[in-house]
Amino acid sequence: MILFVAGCEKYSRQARENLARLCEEELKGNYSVDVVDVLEDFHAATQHNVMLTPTLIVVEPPPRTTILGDLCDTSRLRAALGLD
Amino acid sequence: MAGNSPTDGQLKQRLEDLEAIIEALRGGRIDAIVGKDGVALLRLAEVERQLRESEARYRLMFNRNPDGVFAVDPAGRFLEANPACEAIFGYALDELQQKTFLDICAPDQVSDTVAAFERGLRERRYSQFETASVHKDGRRVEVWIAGEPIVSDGRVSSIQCTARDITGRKQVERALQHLNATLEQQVAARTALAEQRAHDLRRLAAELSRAEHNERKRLANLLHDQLQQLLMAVRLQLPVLAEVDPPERERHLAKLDGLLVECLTVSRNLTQELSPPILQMGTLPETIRWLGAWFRERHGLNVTVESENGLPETPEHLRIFLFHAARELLFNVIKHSGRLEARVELAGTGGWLTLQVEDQGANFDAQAVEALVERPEGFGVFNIRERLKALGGRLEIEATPRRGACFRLVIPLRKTSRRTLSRTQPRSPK
Repeated sequence: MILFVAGCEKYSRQARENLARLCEEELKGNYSVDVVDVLEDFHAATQHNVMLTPTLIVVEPPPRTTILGDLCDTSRLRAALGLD
Repeated sequence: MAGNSPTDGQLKQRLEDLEAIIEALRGGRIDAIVGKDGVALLRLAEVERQLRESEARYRLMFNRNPDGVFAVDPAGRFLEANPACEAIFGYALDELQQKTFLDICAPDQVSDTVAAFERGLRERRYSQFETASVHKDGRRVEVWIAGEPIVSDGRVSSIQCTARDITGRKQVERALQHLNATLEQQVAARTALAEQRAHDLRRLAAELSRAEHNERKRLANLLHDQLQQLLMAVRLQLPVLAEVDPPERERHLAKLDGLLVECLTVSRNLTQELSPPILQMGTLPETIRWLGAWFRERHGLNVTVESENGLPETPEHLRIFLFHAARELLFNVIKHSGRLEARVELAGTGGWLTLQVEDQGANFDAQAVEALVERPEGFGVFNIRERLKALGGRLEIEATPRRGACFRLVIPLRKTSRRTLSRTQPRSPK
């Protein structure tokens, strides 16, 4: 997973917290997340066609899924992570 | 070319991505946009929250402000107004919104108010001025206005104003101005009075000195012309006594005795003129009656004295003053009235003691009387007037019913009582 955030802005911070909570509860450490701060490296975002933050790109399990926003919609996140 | 075209799957994916972006933007739970040149942070929610708080603070200040707060467009039409405006101008918001500020402006303030508004629009900066409006109930309200144009896209969209009712302050200011003006007038009047009094006092001192000198000269003449002549005659007769025979001596002794009796008479008259014994012993009516008799005997002036019964006892200093004043006025009758008739009246009514001297002379001549007042001789009418002022009294001068002059000396009395007027004839001086 790649999570694109903008520093410690409000929704970026919430997205990180929501993702970490679900992953710890459901995946028990069996996961990998790259957090990219666009304020430090915005080229990585453009390479992945990321236009907004926060954005989560789920590579595994396929298909590749993109979720925008603070990841407060748990059901959608669970679906993207193949937990349903 | 066909190899570079996106596949249906890719197009579908891009479409889904765009929909997701639009949805995210609408949902508002994003905080940055990433472009090819960098990152733009979005803090719309925060900005909205700050705006809401700012709006709430503004509304609180707007509605609770004790001053009137209102906005007008560049033409002066009311756009909004807080509740305090209704108290100041008398109109509710919906009524104000049908008016311009000039509609409620006092007619005499319209031109100045227009000029102030135009200046504010032209200079586009904070300004303040005072004007007056007409309240809905018709009364005039003095107001202080502060305004600042709100410029949007290079144009003045409205003018935000504060209004304060300063009617009370203006009234106080006007009262203070009136008070200051009155005070200045009073100070000027008092200063002029003080200067006049100082001038009068200087003149009084000079005239008293001159009067004393004249009196000394008169006494010296009296001594030289009468007493010294008589004593010289006695001295010339004395050597003759040793030379003549006894029968002649008897005749000379009788002549000398006659001269010495004449000396005593002159001396006694002089004493009475200087300080009549009646002044120490008599009441005021007795003193004035004695004076009347003295004038009749010595100068042939027929003086009628009228006095109320039971006049209060008069202090010695006042008695002496009234005696000399009456004597001065009676001498004036002899000199100026043309007739040897005078009338002196003493009365004590309404808390005032009056001594009135009037003559039976020719027509009253105001100019001659004025000249008499200003004449710096003898005891003088001027001195009488000044002494009366010092005693809290006054001198009144007017024509008598017989068209002569009447001088009335009025002095305040501590005690008053009801008295009747009696007519008496003066007795002979002793």
